Amino acid sequence: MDNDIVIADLGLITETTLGQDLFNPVHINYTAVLDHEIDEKLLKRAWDRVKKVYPVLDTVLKLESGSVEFYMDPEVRAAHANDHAYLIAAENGNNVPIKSKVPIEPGCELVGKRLISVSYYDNSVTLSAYHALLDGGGLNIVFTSMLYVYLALYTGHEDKEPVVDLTEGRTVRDYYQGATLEYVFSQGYTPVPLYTLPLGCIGFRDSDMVRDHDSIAAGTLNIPVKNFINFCKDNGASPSSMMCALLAKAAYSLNPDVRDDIVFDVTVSVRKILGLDNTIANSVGLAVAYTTYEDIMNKSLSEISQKIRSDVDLQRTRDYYLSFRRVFCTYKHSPMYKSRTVTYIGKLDVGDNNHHIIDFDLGTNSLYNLFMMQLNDKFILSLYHGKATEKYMNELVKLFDEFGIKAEVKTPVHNIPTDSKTPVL
Amino acid sequence: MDNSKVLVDLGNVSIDSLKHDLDNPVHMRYTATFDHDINDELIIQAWTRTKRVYPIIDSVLEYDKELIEYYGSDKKASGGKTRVLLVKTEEGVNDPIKSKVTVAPGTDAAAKRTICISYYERKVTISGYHIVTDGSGLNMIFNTFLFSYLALYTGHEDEKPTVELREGRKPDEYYTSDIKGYIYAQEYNPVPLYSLPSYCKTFNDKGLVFDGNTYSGSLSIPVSEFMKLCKDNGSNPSSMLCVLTAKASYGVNKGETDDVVFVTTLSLKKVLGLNDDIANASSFMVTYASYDDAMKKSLADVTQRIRKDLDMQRTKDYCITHKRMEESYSLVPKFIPKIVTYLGTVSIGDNMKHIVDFSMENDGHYVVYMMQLNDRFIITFQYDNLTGKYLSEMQKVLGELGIEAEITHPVSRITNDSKVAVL
Repeated sequence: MDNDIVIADLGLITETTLGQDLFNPVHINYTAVLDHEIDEKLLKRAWDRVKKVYPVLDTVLKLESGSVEFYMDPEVRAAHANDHAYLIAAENGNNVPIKSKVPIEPGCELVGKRLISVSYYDNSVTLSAYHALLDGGGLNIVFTSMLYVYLALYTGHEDKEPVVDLTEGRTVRDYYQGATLEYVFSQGYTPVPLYTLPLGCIGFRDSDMVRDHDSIAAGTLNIPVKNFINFCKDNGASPSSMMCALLAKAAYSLNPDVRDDIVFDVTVSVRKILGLDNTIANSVGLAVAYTTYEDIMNKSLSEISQKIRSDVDLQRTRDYYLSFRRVFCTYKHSPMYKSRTVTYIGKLDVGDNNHHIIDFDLGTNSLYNLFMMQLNDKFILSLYHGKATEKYMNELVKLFDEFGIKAEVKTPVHNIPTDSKTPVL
Repeated sequence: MDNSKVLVDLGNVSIDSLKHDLDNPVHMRYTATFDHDINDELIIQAWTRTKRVYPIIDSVLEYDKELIEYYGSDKKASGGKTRVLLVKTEEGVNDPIKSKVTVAPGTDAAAKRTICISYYERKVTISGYHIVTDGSGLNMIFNTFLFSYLALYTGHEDEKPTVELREGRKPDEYYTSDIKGYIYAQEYNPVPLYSLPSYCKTFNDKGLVFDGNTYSGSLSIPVSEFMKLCKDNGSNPSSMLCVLTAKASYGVNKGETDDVVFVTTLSLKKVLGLNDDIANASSFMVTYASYDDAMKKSLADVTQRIRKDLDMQRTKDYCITHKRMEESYSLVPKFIPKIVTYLGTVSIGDNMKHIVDFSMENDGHYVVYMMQLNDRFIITFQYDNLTGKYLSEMQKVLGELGIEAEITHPVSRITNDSKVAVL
């Protein structure tokens, strides 16, 4: 590989998420619904500006031994597992917003093989990307930037102190440093012990937490931010530890005969942990926590959620993350437990113009996950639980109600549309 | 099940491990060679005494046979577990079996016992199921047996025996059936886990062919010379063996510059203070040597670093942390390991001089064993079709360090266990 043309090194193919990205029917995507029909020209201008701020978004994938297609064959891919994946400047094609009702598949010809795509229709605009390029947090940074610029163009109002960074001409390193192994091993650290679960704690998943054929089921709930945050505060909980506790409560009431423990993976933002706040690169980590049937039945919600919170906090340090990555560079990371994942993405906030964003949604190829995103005065909870999605949604509404939080079903269970290589109009 | 017959409840055992024991063509075995033909009567008496010391060796396995057949029938997904018991039985007699070929434990010939003795002329072999005991446990049983036999044969019994001879104990006095539960019940301080350096990359031996058999070959070296080499370099036998194996490996794989990563086996029972225990409880430690480490750096630097790596992984806190991590994350190595096992000294006291050879065999591949027998260290390779190459490379490596190694057992195919006595 000619180093001159490499814009970013994603690391070894095995350490990227390319194995999933290349075949993923639904790449991680965020959708904002605005209070007006999207202005195509302004969106194009906004996207062009964002690409100047983050030129890495306008690159294409280059794999060490050949074309992307070369690696589609599972045997070839396995033989080249230790090849590097690079991002290089695109020589042709164009990555412009595409008018389409369903997300355009990142990496396809229509977007010039860029690993990120913008699609829009009526009042909605969607940003969709390879996980190897960006994680949920990185996607949010780019999404916020795009919406900020678009709304500034649309309203003619720019914030005095924008919440987004619009500096152009930065070097890639300034805003794109993933938690690659190379990075991990370059960091000084103090090794720390890793978290382990109690003996026999292997978690459980509902028998209907499965897909109906290949469809990806999801549903969303809205809850008032103030209400929920106060509730968390009163219990000494963080939003994600509280959601773990509530999901566990829901799980045991939906499975009255189950006595197994319940295990959670809580997504942690590694960019904060590593001090890489500006990076949009993939740098996601997981913290594991659990609760038991006995705890759910006998202990208060504050005790349960605080225990989860302190277990997760223990795993949210720089030394912990670096120790974890190093250990699982020596050993395969193959958890013995069956977990459910809770991901608190953060807040969609473009500043003064935020009130023009009236709704948010996300799409992903998930089965055991709950995502949380704050938009204005609401938390939007997206639940991906396969065939069990609906009953969990209902159970959560009931539980929230018990604790005086008014939850409303924003989107009943539906199947997430799969990415399209051509516009769907 | 008549509970009074249950000696040990092994709890839920992985079906894969159980099936491995049931189907294994070469069960874990130790063989001692005496300086005389074995006396048929004395060997039975010695084994009877050993059974009084460790009554569980006279038990049979109880498990759900239908379940095992179900799993065996059509490649059902593995990962299942089944409850396994060791129970007393009146059926058949677990006496030593006269046979040229090691008799498989668990067979009718062994009266279905999971640990059995085969002997012929001057050689005696103990073999057993791994779910019942591990290498160190089997060795303890074998030591009691060899001591008892030689005491009868010579009429001399040590005043202060170094082997276990207490009789009439309950199984829980010498057998911790729930080792996991024991580990989780321990007070401990979690410690960081060892990890390999960045981009440590291992390689497959060139031309290695697995033909379904296991091959073995041994060489021996004088203890005094090897220990002097260790001492001069501030190292110990395990760390020295790792570096020598790495040197041999680069000799066999000319042009290879990727790293060699070692897995060295560790008896958990000693670490946990269960010194009298014969249960299956082994663990492993990890270390590595790069090409430069093995071929360019000083022997002292590298062996001392490896010694430090291994010592860090030998503490009680480390082993408990490691086992707990294994339960949560399985800890399957990402590397291609070279397995190195230092078994220590074969010792049964005053009558040791009547044992002229000793070996360990199992169905393992890419393993190196080292043990001390009287004034010689025996180094054994099980490296499939490359066993001979490794033997001669190791001989060369030792020669360059001024130690003359004698090939005591040229490469041979390890004979599979037999279901019947072979005379």
